[in-house]
Amino acid sequence: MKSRVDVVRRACSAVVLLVGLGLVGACGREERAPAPLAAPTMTRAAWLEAVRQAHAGVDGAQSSDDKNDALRRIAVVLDEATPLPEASAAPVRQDLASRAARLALELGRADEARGWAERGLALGNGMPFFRANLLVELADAERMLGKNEAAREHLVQALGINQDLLDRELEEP
Amino acid sequence: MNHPSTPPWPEGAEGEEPEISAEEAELAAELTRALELGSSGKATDPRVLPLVETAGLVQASQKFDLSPAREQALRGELSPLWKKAPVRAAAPTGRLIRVARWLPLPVAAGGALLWGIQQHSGAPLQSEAPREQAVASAPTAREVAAWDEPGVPFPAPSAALVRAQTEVLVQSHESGGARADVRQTLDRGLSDYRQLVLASLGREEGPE
Repeated sequence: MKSRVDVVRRACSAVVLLVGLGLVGACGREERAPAPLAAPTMTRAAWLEAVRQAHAGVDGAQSSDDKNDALRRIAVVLDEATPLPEASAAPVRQDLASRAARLALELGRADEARGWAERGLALGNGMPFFRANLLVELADAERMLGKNEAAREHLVQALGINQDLLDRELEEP
Repeated sequence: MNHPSTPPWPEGAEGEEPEISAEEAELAAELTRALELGSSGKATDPRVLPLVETAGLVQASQKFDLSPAREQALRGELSPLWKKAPVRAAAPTGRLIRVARWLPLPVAAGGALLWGIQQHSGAPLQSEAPREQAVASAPTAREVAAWDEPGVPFPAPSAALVRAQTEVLVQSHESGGARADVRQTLDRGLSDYRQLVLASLGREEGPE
């Protein structure tokens, strides 16, 4: 008969895998390579300022015209080659893509929202928190398109990421 | 419970005694108690139910095998567990996982999900595939750790921000969308966090 310690070991190991499987589910979709980038044409400071301006455009958008303008501004920044290393730029791009997807949702354009979210996810792992946001936008887009099962799958992936973030937060002293 | 006669993880780690603090020893005892309660079906105390549910998932890993595809589909049914774990019982869950992390024993956990769902819904569910399939789909500890590392020293999101995201996720999962006030809370936190991230990149050294 196994001792209690053995039982606890089994128990804890399964919890580890539960989290692990969540992560696998979360990162199993984004294998597409991003499009090749052209040589950077702007400085780091200029690119970051363009990013800030793009966010400011979203923050101040009230009307549909405002939102369409904000979307165009985000598209310009995302299309622009970044002077930052890709690992540094990816989370920023993910966040921008997430905002674009949310704007498209607000404009009732689910297909476009899905495209933005998928574009952000295709950037790779980036930052888990932003990936989870992208999965939420993707889920909302799928739901708007009547694909509830796909929406639920994306939310479960996001929950896996989010759970891991919570766990890490709790581990901090 | 009908446990298999052989442990569902490779032998070898049994003899390695991890260091364990008094608090973690207490947690281990707590988990053991929860396992017993979960087995008996007598747990009704809301303070211990999340632990029992976790323990139930754990026990099920010893009972069922599950294909990765089936596991993925069934995870969508875990709303009650997610609702309790991240929002209402984050601390016990986090403590469990902290304890679990120094026990790197690979186990097919898909069956655990199945068992947990069964416990909540009462629906009969069946095992489908060999355990090897689920094991093959699981990441190694190193792979998970590598995935966790963004490669750049970005500031970590605050607990409040992550919890705001959790609220949005849980509401979206359960109700098909997050309430406007919950969404706004997340957006406000995101705005602050975004400034931190951009500021950290502005300080990062590198060629222009």
